[in-house]
Amino acid sequence: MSIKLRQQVVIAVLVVGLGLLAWGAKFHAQPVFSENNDKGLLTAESKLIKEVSIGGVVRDPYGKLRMTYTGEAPQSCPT
Amino acid sequence: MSTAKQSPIQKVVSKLIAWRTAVQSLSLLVWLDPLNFRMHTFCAPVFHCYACPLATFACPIGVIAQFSALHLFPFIAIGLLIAVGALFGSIICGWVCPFGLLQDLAAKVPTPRLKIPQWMGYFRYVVLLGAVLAIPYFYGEGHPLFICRICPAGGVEKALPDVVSAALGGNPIPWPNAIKISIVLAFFVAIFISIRPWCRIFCPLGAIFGFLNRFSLVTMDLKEHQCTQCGRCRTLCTYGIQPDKQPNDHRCIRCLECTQCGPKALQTKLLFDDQPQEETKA
Repeated sequence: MSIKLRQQVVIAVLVVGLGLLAWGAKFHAQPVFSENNDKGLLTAESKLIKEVSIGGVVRDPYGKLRMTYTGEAPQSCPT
Repeated sequence: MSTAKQSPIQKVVSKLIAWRTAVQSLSLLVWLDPLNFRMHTFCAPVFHCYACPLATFACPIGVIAQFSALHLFPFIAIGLLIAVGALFGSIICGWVCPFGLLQDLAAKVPTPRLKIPQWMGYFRYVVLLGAVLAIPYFYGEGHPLFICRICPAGGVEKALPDVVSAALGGNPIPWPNAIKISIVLAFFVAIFISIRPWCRIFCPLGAIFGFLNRFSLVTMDLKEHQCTQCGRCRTLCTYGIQPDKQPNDHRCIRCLECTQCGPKALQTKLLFDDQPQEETKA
């Protein structure tokens, strides 16, 4: 692979990575349902990252994201 | 013997290389959360379990697997790994990953070491595609082969400290399940009879960064006209790679030891740093 082509590939990969990162951080959100909220609370991806790290969100049999707890969050993930 | 003129980044590397363990240790100040920031809304680009009481950030592999189980695309985790990989490749593995540091420290113990066949490096992609993506997606996080359930980082960084602290405090010991105990024991045996076994055979994060070695801004460059085929770089490489044949091999963790060969034919450089290198007589 020529150096020119490698440079172009690196720029493309970097743009893709930064684009995904920016999109996730700024725009990506999902509705999460809970016992107290049947309409679904739009939750940012960064908040979802924290929730999955403690097993705080599951997908229920109806395909909706649902909180596994109310009140105080679990201390660590279920695994 | 003539030696190639060093690239600007290689000059820095040459000075830092003797201090690699110190750099790895200093990076712990970022990953081990000394100020109790607990920023688990963001991933770190290193292998460090978020269940660890000393984890500043979330583990990107754990997040990708959990999102896969939820049938969500993890934009932040994937974007971060692609961007960091495109910048540095597997330098992250060799210089700042805490799990790599643990294995490097064990490698300093003078015990007989088993050689790991090169082909086993491909198994990391099996772990990535299977235990991180496919199994979580199709079977959820309850499957026994879900990555977090078989990951030694969770056992070493969470389960083990829990057991020790409970034992020291005289509390009931929260024993992990038999599989986790077996994995942790196997890990500790493996790091004393081989060099970086987790990184070289299993690490899904290393698979991503290693794959991007060929497409990273910081790259390894072989000056073929400077190479004397002395084989010194192969001796310097403790991972059994042939840096003179494949300087950007996907199994390389970029410890950069191979750049210390006599003719300095192997160098770290920026991909856009393509100015002609002058020769100097040594």
